[in-house]
Amino acid sequence: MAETGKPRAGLINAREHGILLAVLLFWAVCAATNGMFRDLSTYSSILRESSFVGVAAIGMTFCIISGDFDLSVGSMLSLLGIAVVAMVGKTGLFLGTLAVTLLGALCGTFNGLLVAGLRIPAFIATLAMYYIYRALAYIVTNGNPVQFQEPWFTEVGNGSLAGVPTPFVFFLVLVAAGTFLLRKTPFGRSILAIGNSARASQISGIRIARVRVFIFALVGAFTGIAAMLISSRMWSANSGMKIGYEFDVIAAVVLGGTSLAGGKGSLVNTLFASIFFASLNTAMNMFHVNSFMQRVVIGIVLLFAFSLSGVRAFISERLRLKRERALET
Amino acid sequence: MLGRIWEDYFIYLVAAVTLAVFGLLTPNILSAANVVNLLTNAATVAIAAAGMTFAITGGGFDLSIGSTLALTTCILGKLVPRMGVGAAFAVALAVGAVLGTLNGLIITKFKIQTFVATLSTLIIYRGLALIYTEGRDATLYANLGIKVFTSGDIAGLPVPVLLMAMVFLVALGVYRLTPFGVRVRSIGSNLAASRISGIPVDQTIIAIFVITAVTTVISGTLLTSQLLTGNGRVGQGFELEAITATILGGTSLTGGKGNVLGTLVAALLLTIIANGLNLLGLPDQYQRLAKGLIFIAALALDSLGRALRHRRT
Repeated sequence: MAETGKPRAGLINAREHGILLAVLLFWAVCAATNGMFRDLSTYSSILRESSFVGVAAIGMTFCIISGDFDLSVGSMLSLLGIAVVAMVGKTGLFLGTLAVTLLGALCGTFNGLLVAGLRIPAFIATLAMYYIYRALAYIVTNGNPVQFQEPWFTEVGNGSLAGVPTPFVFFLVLVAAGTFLLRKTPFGRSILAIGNSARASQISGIRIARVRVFIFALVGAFTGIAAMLISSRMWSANSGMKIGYEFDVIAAVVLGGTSLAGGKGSLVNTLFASIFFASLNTAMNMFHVNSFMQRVVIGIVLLFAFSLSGVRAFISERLRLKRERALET
Repeated sequence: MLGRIWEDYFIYLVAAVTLAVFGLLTPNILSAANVVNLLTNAATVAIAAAGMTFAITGGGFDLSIGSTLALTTCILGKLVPRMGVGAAFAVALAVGAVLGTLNGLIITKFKIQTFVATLSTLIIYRGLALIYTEGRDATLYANLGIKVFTSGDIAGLPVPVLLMAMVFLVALGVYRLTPFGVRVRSIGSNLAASRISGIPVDQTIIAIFVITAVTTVISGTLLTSQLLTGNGRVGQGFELEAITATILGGTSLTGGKGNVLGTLVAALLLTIIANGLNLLGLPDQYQRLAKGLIFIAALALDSLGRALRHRRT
């Protein structure tokens, strides 16, 4: 009868850490069936790849917790990647990263103003920006790829720090910072509150419009850092890069258990979900799954992730009915 | 009152002004040949947008139609040489109905929002189209029977224009005169209340997604007839064009209130803009930029219309 909403005690339980269990299980199955999954370098490469989606997924987690979406991150990534490649030689790594983060925040602020200022539903406004940023990226480069001349810049995306892939170090630090922001600051609590009930938050004095603009600015800022990492990894950037990136990012957030209805989410689970997708991609390549089939598999995993909360609600509803019936008789 | 009139008719005003402006800039746009060309080009987006009008009025979206469009061109590209135009078209319609039903079932049975459900099937359906054609073109050089959908005519009227007129007449009739039309509007304005008052919500939602898929198959057939090829990569962003036409035409994003004729006028407007920019010689990417900006402007006007109406009531 002690069926409360609280998670059960213990270090690991299925609801809170389901995605971590899924990653471990997936790795175990792969290691059992494919020799390359018994090699440590495979895991190092998975962690590296997971960071390129995961860093942008941190910003998206804030956005989805607050009940919104940003579909423009893929196009923004292309535009920001071009910007960072063009300037990194002159500015150096630190200033270049700072500049592209701010530039991303600027793009994000623009998205936020459309959503919170003009009150255009987020996914529609950002769908329009998806086309606009991509077109801008094409226009500034004339459709040609841009490259940088500084070999040291490739070290960020391709190198390692004390054996850990450098992008993953960025990823871990940013997840820690993001978790602090979400759990320990008034701003983080406002995000959670808006996601739970925008109306109640407004009544309790939260300045919703301002918080939402700031959330979109954060999405842009994290996309800027991801753009820096990816351009460094690819040695270049272009206006056609990473089409469909927004789906990967949203998929990682949702698979990490962040509720699409808003109000709930965890950056640590977003991290594990990013690792899960990177593992899935690596495994599909190792097992030579046709690249078109890979899209279908990812679509189905997504559908499964989206329906989890629905299935969970369905089961608990059934259990409740059963209990009520049992009480009646 | 002012808000209502603004919402319902501003699109006609915008279309007239745009046509006048382009008419001054490039007189060619009003030549008889170009007008037929305009209508033919408009038909592809307009027909799918007629279906989208039902989805948005019902409070949802169908983002998967770009992929359904691609799959249609692949099916026709592969099957027309084997079984002829009529049979291939029938197969494409049947596949469309199945994909639409699948969307509807996923939304109603798994209880996923339409937006994310169709976002997933967008990826899956395009994957299917690419698998089916192995990522290659299915060209139709020798099978010009399919050409009837763009260059054929009945009593002097071009087939695509007739098809567009037919689809919109049926859509208008269904929307205004049938119980189904009432149900769609009711679901769009208040889902919970509709369920309580005994409206078969799930069935209606499934029917809506069958409509969006089937209208998209008709659009895809026109497109195949123009391109003379089937390819799994066509139609990326097509969903945005159909949604733009629908919203621009005065269908409310929040659901419950549609405007079928407005959708038609808006689709024509978008085609006039694209055609005008083309005649003026603007490069492709600038056109996409312009389209995105027009989309934002349309949405801002939609907000404005709503704000005006709220002030009056």
